[in-house]
Amino acid sequence: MNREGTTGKLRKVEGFDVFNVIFLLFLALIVIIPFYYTIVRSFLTQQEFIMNGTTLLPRQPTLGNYRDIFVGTGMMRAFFNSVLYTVLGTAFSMFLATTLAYGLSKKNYPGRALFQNMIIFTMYFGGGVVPFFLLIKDLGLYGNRFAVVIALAFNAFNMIILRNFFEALPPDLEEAAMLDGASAVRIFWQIVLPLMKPALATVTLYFVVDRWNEWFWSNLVLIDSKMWPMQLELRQILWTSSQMAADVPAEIGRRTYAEGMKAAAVIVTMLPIMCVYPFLQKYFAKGVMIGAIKS
Amino acid sequence: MEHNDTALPHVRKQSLGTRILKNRWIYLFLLPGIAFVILFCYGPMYGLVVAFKDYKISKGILGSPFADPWFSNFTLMLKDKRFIAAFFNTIRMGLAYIITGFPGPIILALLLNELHGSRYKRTLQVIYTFPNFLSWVIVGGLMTTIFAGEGVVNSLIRAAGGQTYGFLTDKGLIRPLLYITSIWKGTGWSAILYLAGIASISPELYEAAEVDGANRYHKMLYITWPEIRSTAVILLILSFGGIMSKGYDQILNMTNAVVRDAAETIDTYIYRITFQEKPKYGFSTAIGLSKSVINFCFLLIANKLAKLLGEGGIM
Repeated sequence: MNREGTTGKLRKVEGFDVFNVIFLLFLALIVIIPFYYTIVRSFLTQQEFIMNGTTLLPRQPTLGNYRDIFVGTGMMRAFFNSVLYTVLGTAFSMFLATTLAYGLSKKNYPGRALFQNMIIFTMYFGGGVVPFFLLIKDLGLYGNRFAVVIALAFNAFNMIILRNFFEALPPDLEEAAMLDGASAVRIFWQIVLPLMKPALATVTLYFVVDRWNEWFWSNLVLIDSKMWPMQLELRQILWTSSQMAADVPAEIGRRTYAEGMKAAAVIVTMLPIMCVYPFLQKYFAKGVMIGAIKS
Repeated sequence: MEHNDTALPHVRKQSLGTRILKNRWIYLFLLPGIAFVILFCYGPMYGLVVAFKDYKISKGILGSPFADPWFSNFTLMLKDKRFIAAFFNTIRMGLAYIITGFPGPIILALLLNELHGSRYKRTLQVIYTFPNFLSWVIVGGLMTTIFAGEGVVNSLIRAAGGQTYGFLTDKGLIRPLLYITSIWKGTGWSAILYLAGIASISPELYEAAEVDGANRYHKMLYITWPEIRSTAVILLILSFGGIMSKGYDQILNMTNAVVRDAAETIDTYIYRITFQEKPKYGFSTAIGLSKSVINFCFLLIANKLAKLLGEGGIM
């Protein structure tokens, strides 16, 4: 960047722009490289992997690794489990978050400050993993799929994003509807929520991603591997056949096959998010901006 | 705890009962969420009492007897060398995560802001932010492709005639690798926050500065940066608050048995002794409680500091 100091004002700007574009493209490349090589690796045959593990393009691309994933592991079942947990979990989370956020967006009723502080306190202090686990056990949810759906449903940050959106709504429509004698539930469902569509989309996406990526509690609570979500199945595939870094070159012959399968499993688990993210990015970004203003 | 702008107006004096009755539908909306929070957020907080108990699975949280003396789990904790090591390692790694992760998003946002042509900008943003939405399970898998024995880095080394190296089995390298991958995953998304701040700056400010002969560095330094500084401070506070709980997720997905000790944090230690060894729930909970309390104090201190600096704080 220092070369700009010595040149004239106009060229100084151009020099910086060129540097900037090159640098940003370089950063993009760094982000892309791990994806690129993992995708390439997932299409490699065992022989080609041994010959040249890192290649720009597979010479004889194969779908064998993907076939092995779906035939040889529980990935297919895990996919449906993940869809189930994501759909039910997101729906339940959204129910809790929207009702609570709407209630908290109202002003001037006894107890508001108490409820608000109660929620905010949970953002700074929590019981932690062990008491939460013991609670799940005491509630008889251990080993139950619904432990994953229900127990993880609340997220204070997402709720506050929604509350901020609710607070930003003009009160006129609600007041008019109330004068017309509409019930509170009807006003919420038929007037307020439709106005909130972009915000609801944003927060729904956050919940969907959280749910899709969840593995920790599933790991602790779901004893039966038939109930596992995709992330946990992937983790199993990545960690059982060989530990991540048990990378002794002499063993290459036997283990390379597993490497292709692992790469394919990573890609398959990532695919749903990869397919929708580029089109929905602006919704993702929206929540950050609203959440950033307050909270 | 939050700013108290909702203080009840004393203008209309209605009895508490009347006001509750008048707003009853609001409580209807609050009911499911508050009930859930009490059960699943405050329930575990109550469960912290296990830290003072001699927990028996058969008797549950309520039925287990208190430990004798009541602080015996904490005495054990302070005598536990693995815990002490994990404790200091947590602070060390937490600080390193903050120091290494903090500048990137600001720089990225400032550079993106200087880029003209919104279509390229949007494409770049999609690329930069995408990793944030992947789980650490997946990112761990991706990073194996790069750093493992047969990975991209080793292939390059071999092509250059060097010896391959076990990056992921090197105790000295695992922590830097964790910081680097954390930067790789999170920088783009954190930059969005700063970009949002920059976007809210009035263009008139820049125009006025241009009239006064300011170049882009002047504008960056005297207009853009002051505008996003409060965002930066708040983010810094938030990260200090989380210093004790940074990344069991990442660590559990990126460290193997060989390097485990080098990246052992309080969270991973609790996980291991509770779920991978013979569980001593009272002992684990004592560690968890200590962590939560220290974490909370860090946050209060950081928040106080931010207020002193005149940046508002978060509570």
